[in-house]
Amino acid sequence: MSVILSVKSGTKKFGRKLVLDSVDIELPTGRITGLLGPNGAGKTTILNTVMGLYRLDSGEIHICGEAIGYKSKRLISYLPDTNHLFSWMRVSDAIHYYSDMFPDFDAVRAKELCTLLEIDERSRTQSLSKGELERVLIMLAFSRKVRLYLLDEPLGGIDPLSRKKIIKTIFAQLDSESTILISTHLVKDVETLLDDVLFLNKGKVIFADSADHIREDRGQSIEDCYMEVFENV
Amino acid sequence: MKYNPTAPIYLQIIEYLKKDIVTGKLAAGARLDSVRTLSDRFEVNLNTMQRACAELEKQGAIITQRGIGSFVTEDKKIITALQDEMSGGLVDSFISGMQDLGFPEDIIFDLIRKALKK
Repeated sequence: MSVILSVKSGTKKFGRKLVLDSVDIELPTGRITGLLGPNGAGKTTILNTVMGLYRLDSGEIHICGEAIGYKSKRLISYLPDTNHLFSWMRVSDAIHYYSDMFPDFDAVRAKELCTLLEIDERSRTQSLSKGELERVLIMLAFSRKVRLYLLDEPLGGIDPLSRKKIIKTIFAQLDSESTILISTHLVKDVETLLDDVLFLNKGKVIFADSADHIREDRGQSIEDCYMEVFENV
Repeated sequence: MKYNPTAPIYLQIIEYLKKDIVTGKLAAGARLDSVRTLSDRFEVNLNTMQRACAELEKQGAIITQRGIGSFVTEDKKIITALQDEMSGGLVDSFISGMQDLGFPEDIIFDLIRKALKK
């Protein structure tokens, strides 16, 4: 199995505050991994450093063997947890914008996903509800064909129906070539979704295991295991 | 489908498919959907579905022919063994439950007979 993402002793400070404390992550291809932890654990910071938006103070990140740079960015599709689309855009504008920006953007796939996720391409991105916006962002992120998908809180504040659709789309996206990293604190919602979990607390990876292993060996759900690990920190 | 989050999901899928095989909903020799279609239907990760299928194959319940697809076994012995395994599990858990409640054998028999007559 080849490694898609590797982070080696990644450390990052904002001023005096240590936000990433010697983080080690290795993601093989063809897996869905959950980056789980409370607010402020450093989940988004990890995604942002992998994206190259922040630079590590020390440590290394490689994506398919490439160091962070313009080459590595082509390998990643990123779903931020904010609305990053220009306020004047309609969904169709956003699709055009993405297809101009990314050579790997598949317009046919975008159409498919719009139908699947019940997105109206004429809506304005500013007037979308939270659930609609998240579906639009998923559609944009998954219309690209890349090795690594980074999803930052794709399920936060989403109603159960939209959630189900989004989870189905995530399942359909995974193939043996790519890997998906999902950051979330909604442990319960991703219970059946994940292959592997990483628990992050105060900038440290405090626990890493496969979901089946947790269920098989500990007889626990991911949520139980999460509670146990975090109560004993 | 609802899953029990404290047990491995692939095992729960195996149980479900075995039940379909035993009841004949999936007939002997019938072709299974592709792993991708199944994972869509069961709403699970592709890896989970693959693991479930691999396990069923190991147990002989399904047979995969490369490039063609997976099929339910036509071996009656294996299907009977599956039946025994599933009914055995139910009977065992029933009996141990009743014994825990302190019921003697003859009363358990009576209760079953009564329940079946209903």
